[in-house]
Amino acid sequence: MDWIKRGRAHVLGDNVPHDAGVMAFDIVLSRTTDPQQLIPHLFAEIDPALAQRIKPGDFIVAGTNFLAGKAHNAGIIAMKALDMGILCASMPVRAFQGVVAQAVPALVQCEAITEFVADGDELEVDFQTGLVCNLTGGATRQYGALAPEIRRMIEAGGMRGMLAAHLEAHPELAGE
Amino acid sequence: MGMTMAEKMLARASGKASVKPGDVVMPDPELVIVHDGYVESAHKQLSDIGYKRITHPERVVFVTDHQVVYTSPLAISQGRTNRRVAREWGVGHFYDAGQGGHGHLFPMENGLVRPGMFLFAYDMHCTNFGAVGAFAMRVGPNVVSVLGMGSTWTVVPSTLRIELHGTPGAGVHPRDIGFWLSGRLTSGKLGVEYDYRVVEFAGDYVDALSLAGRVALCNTLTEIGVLNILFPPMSPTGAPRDASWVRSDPDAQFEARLTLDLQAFGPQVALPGGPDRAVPVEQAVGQAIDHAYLGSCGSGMYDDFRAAAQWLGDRQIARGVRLIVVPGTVEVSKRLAREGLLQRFMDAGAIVMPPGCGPCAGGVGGPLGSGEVSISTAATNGAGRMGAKDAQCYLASPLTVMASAVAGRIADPRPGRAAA
Repeated sequence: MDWIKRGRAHVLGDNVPHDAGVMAFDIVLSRTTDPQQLIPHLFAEIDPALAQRIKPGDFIVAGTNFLAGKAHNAGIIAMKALDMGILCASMPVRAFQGVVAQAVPALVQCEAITEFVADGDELEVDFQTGLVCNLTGGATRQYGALAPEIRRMIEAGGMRGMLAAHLEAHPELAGE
Repeated sequence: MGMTMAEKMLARASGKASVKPGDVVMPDPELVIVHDGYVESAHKQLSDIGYKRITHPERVVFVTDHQVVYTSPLAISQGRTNRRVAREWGVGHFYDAGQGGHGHLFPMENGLVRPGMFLFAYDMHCTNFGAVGAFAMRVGPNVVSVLGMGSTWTVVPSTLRIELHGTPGAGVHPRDIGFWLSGRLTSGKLGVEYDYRVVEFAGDYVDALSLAGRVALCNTLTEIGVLNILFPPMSPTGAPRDASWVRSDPDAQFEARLTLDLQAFGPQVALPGGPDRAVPVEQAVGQAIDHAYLGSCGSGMYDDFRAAAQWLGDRQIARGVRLIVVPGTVEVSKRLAREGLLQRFMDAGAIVMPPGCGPCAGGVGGPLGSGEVSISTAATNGAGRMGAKDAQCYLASPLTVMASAVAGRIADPRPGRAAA
């Protein structure tokens, strides 16, 4: 897995909730896990045009408490499908568990990153070391890297990858 | 070094002699609870990978509380799928529509969830089980991992110990304490961290609380991001104490300790937007309402309805207000019927629905229209929670909701204050 990613930053503020923020509550309640159904609604509650501006490989940059509130995962599924990375000042533990489950690379201890990155900046991020280069502004910041055990889970493909590996090791679970 | 209740239960479930905050563990749950709204999705995700069976199906509990009375063709289809999946996987405990009731309540009544247990659940309000001294951890969509592999990773939380003392006056209910405490925590006025923390309650107020009162406190604090709420162990079924009942050691390390006096405490109302937007009821009195609702996993136990029915007496619901009463469990509903309390609600003009989540689950069975105002004992009150996004959802105790339904506007339930 290539832990160095390059893309454009889409900057949000503090306390962006999952429900009614990253994803509308009625879409969450539909319980769909189909990325193609979810992607058009991603961030629509904040900025209806944002989903159209996001290109595969881009980053969501947020302040403190990103993915606040109930730790649903519809928005995370959509972000994964778009091959996005997350950089934020902080994130609740339960939301982070959902991010790891979907194998979305994320640096979640990037203090004051919304002051360092502006909307539209081109970034290069090394999730293994925590180094963030703002290619537009020509500056770098060192943040906390992903812990090795978290990297291993993401590398395995998150929850789905680990489940597949478990099934391979326990073929009786695939029998009638 | 001693351990907290939470640390003891997580250590035991993880096969470790001890754990400390920040440790990553893979606890082995005694039960895994999934509600009717997520069974189909979990099954699809596992089937797509190739799973035809799950690990430890005997531990798995399916509850049907979100869609009890199927209100759409989709709900009918979902119910059919849930029955098929329960058979296919051979789950150990399947509660179909009309059985059990609210999955955050009835497992305590029937002894399925017991003090000292560690369990995983899909839904966040599994924290209700802290009322009997069990540790239920919400895993959300990661419940698919638990079904497939038997467990999932989690992080050992820190614990905040809160001692509650004093006896509030008449008209004050534990839900009021929950709203107020949630507001004090999220506003930073108590100067302690609460996100992903366990709150362990103690004190003479707590010693006197019924199971319903304990549930009220568990439920409200969960909405602000507290990981779990724990009370000293108790058994609603009368089961004798055994080695699984745990308490914190005298030298346990708490992240913080608070002592709060409730003597002069009054009823609260949570303004639309969140259960922590608590204000003294006086600040909301007079707001006209269209809709009122008694029930949910926060206020769905017998004591909650009895308190509301006692307040109601032989009064009538105000014209133009629809009051929806949703007993939390089948046993609660039967007892309310047996004791004539359902009759009292219906005599007053209330609509009685079958046990379950009721309108709290996205407005099912009793939604709000555009611009309408509701006051309820629902678990939470974000925009669109019970229907139209521009509806206003106030939260309050069963007493305040009852007083408001009678008055047709938000009312103070204390003696002599409700202008009904």
